[in-house]
Amino acid sequence: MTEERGRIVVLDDSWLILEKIREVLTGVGYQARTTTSVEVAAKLAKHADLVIIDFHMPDMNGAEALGAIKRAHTAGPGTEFYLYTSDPDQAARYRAHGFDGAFLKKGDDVALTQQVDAVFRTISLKKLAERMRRERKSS
Amino acid sequence: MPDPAAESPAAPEAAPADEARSGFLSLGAKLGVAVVLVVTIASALVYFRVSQREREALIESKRVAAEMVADLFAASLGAALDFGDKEAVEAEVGHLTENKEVSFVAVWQAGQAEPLVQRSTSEGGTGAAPSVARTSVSEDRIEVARSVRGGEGKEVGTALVRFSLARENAAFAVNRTRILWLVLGLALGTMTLLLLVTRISVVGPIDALLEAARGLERGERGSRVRIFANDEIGRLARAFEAMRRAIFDRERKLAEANANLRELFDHMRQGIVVFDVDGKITGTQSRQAESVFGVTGFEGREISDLLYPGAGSWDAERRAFEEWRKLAFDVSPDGWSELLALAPREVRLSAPASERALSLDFQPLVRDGAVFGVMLLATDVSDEVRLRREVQEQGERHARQLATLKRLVSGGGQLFVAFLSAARARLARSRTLMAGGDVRLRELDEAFQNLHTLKGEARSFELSELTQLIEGVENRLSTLREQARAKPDQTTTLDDDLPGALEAAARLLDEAEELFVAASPSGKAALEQVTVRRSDLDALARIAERQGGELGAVSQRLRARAFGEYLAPLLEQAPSWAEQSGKRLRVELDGREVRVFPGLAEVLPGVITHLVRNAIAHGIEAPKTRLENGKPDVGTVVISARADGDSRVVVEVCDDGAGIDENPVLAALADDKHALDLERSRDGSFRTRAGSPADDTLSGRGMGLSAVVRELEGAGYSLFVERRTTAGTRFVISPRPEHGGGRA
Repeated sequence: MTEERGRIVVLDDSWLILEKIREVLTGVGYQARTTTSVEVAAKLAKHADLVIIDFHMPDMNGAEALGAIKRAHTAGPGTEFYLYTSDPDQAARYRAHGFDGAFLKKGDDVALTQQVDAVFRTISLKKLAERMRRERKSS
Repeated sequence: MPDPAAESPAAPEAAPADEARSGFLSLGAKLGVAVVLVVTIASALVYFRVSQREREALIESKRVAAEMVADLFAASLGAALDFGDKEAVEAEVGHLTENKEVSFVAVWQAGQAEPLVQRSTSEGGTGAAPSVARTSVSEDRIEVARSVRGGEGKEVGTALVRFSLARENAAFAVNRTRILWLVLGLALGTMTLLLLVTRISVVGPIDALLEAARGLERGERGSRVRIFANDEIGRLARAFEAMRRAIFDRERKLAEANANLRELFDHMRQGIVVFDVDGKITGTQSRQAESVFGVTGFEGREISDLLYPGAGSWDAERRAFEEWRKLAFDVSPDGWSELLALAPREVRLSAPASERALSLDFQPLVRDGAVFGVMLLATDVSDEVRLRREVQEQGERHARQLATLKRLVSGGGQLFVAFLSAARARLARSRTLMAGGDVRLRELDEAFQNLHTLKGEARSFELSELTQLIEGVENRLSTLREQARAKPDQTTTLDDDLPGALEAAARLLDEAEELFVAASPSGKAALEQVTVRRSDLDALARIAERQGGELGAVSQRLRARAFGEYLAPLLEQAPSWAEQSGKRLRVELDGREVRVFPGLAEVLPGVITHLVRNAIAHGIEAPKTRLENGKPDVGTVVISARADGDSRVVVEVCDDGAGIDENPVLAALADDKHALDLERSRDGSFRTRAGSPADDTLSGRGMGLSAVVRELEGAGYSLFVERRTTAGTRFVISPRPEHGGGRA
């Protein structure tokens, strides 16, 4: 088993898709928790670095789900929220929906892994930039 | 490597801007002003000096004349004053005053305060008698005083004569005007001459040099300086010309070096581009860049657009790259190793025809201790990625096959066949129950139970994908059952994707069956097999065969086993035998389901094992030799079986090795025939070869070829070998005609 690379929560209405995502992400070393419930996702978000939310769901869309999770105030300030969709139009409106970014090519395991890797690289880069800022300030 | 031309792109336009900023004043203007000033000052000095000399000359002439006149006048008064003859004095004075230049005359007798005679033609008085002879010059007159002496040289009086300078002053005024014009003319001439000389000798050549320097700055090769003067400017021009040639020579060498470098980069088959702090591409360093990135025209293009075409700010990979790019120019060159670990390693570019995978490598370009550019080296690794995926998929397939074999060993093939049958039935029943979309609790319960059992069975056969899939459906059904229990008199609407999930499960079952058939030594026959105790079967066969006829034949068929079953261990072991000899081997099996009857079946494993070992020892070449001979480095042995009538089988063992001529065991047996009947030859070298030194540890173990022939003969079969000099060897095991191939 590889070292755990990050904690991810995935919210989707299809458990078949969730199972596949979980398998793909755990296969490359991430801790992936999957759920079809917004309430459960809100609870899981407390310990997550990244929350991935499907857009088209039967009871509510991804933006509404994100709103519900944020209203629960469980996620940390550094948690990234990404939209998962095959719809480029929805992806382009990610900011209006309240997301930090969007994953496209839904169903492409390799693309998913690369996109998740990129998010964790961004998190590391932000930490590195912050560290450099502190070092310059102190010197 | 940065493009040298790209490092100072704004230089040619910088010069005029600098001139404007620094209040540029041309050298010609400065020299002109200086010449005017100097000539004006010099001309003024000359003018004043010449004017002064002119006046002095006029005054001096007048003074000399005045003194002469005064001396003569004083001499003419000597006698008159000695005798006190006033009239004579007045007459002399009268004579003198007839001279218009004389403006005043006064004569004193010695010891008298008042003049004896005084006459004035203009203003002015006398004053006291002058005590000494003197001459004084003022602005408008010359005054000369002289002693008048008597006959014995005794001073008898004093005479004072004033001469007017009006005429001299008038002449001087005229002369001064002339001098002024003359000096002005000279000054203008001098200035014109000096300015012309300055223009021709200094400013003009410097302008030409300046223009040539700007041409050089713009990289214009024809910007020569044509100055032939043999002075400092000429030397400067020659030095400039030498410098221009040296610069272009260095540029030529640099261009050659760049071309060589570009060629090197091209041979590296990498697309190389350089981008700056703003993320703009400033240059490409290899022709491969266009084919690697699939675009043309790189200058000024955003590097993010190149790597992530069509991706907006929402794209996670683009966002990560943008973050990285910002830090790449902020971090010191020493901190780059940490940053490189966070750089994207690979991108996938979608193309209309296919997807391209690029491996990325970033290198900082450092100047004055700071990163001023980043060089990106992109390699097209599409083929490698594709191959990696195929290998991965193959590995997964292999793992699944191994799992299937494991299942077969642990659970038995027939059990698995039974599971496949039952699982399909359960799936079919579940689909029927859920076909309407709206179901009752009872139907949900039954479907749930069916799938629950199916999940357990799938798990026992380690069918993980099917297990997970059914588990997902089962969980969903569980939720629906709870809803249905809450409203038992109503129907429950199923999810739209449930039928799809059941179809996916059916496909997984088909795939499992395909894998099972592919991995089974019996092939498709495995699906038809049943398990019985061998001892019971043997006992039944013996009884049946004593009866003969159809019953005997059926009993033989019952005892017959699939050809593949006998050779399953060989398939796994043969490659490792080859590896022990420094060779590589792949064994292919054809006709696995052909049924082999007991007689041949008893000897077949030993015979085939020997032939394969012989092929490894003497036929299959070392990988290097095979590659030199234009063959794949992995040798192949194909073992095939085909039915020949109801109970007979023909088996062939072919290898793609060196052939008979290279096989010391068989070479001695070779004759001009295309096929060698080893049975007829076995009394010759064949028998002795079986124990020869060439019969090494690999092929020499177990029985020799002669023993192989004997064994086959006992089973009613013959062994033939077909000589294929360079294309390998083919052994054929076929029934002996007189025997019919069967031995009960």
